[in-house]
Amino acid sequence: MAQQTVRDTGPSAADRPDVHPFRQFVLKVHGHCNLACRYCYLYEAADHGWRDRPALMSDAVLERTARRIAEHATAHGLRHVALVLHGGEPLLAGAARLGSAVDRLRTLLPDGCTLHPTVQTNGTLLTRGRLRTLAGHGIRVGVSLDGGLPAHNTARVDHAGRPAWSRAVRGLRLLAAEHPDAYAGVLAVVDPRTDPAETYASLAALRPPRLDLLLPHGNWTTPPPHLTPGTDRPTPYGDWLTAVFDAWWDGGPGQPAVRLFEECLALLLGAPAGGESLGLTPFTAVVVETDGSIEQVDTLKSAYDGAAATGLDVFRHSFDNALAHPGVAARHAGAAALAPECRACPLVRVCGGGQYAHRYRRGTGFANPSVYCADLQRLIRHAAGRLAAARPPKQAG
Amino acid sequence: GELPELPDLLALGELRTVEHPVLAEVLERIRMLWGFNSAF
Repeated sequence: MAQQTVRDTGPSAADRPDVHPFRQFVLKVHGHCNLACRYCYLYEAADHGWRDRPALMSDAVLERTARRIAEHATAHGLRHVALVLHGGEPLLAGAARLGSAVDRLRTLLPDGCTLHPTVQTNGTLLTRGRLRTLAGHGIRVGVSLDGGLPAHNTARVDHAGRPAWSRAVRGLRLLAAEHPDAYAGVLAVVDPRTDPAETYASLAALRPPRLDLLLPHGNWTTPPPHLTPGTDRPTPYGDWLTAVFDAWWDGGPGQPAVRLFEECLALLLGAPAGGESLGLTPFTAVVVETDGSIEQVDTLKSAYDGAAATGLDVFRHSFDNALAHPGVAARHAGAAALAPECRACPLVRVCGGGQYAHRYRRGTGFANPSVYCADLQRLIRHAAGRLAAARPPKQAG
Repeated sequence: GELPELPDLLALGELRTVEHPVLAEVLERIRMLWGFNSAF
């Protein structure tokens, strides 16, 4: 698929009321990883662009990116900007380097605009010293871990095939014990073969303030593991998620904020979505690769080689130029970008067609229901039933 | 078919009267910076 380049000319997107500016900037500060997780969408899926890029984001790219973010925040009057330090494994870039990058961006942002930086790490490189550095620069730390027991993390191995679990959980426990205010949460990829209640209990025991349960990336052409696409099929992921939903819902006060479930409940109650897993809220995140390329979110790389490319870069283009890219615009189009059967479905305001990357089918692109459609239905209907039974307050009048 | 009839959060002020502990905490929070779900 040819890249579609947009020149840095023409009317500014900031002048158009229908434009949704970027609010979350994902910086690929290091393109390599010290782990080789078997399901990784970056290194094990269709796109191999990482091989042609520098491993480390250079000082020049960091500086230019910071200036472009500040330019965007100023043009759109943003009061908050989220910065995600991502990889690969971002801590391979060095904690002090990440801290300096964050400080520089804070300096450049306009008055009245607050920066919210996080780093998403596999946890294996978290040491007392690195945590002190990150927390000292106001960087919150998210950890990727698939469960709270070694058996839940068999897919997370290093390049020699050795389990990463013991190193990751050691770092995570340091984070929870010594820097709880910097603990952003845990991301876990769902494996429907595991015991859902046991997995949830073990994750909750790690005391994450927030938890998200991610469906493995896949689509109609390259289906996710343990799932045979079709309309009349078992729903292994839906069954697993509803079991975890019940453990969470019935767990009493003090449960972690499970992002997928809270998104589902928010949408059922008429609130807007805050993420890309569910709902129709315009998606406002953008990625900068180690070489300065501006890309759509890298989960699209699970669909086909080059799926996230825009042909833009921070040296020649502004983020407003990226807003005009057709791929970005498609994710701001709401229900209009969905398949006809999705637009006609009574659940569409909740599921929103599911995550964009999961809709892909070779030949028809992204105008399809999610490959997880039946599983999402299972979860949403179950959550709606539990919510209705909880009898929230009736509206006045 | 259709989902059960649920209250519209946008029309509620009342939320603190919810007795379900997990729902009450959720409602406080959902009462936007992140979108990319491969990070917090």
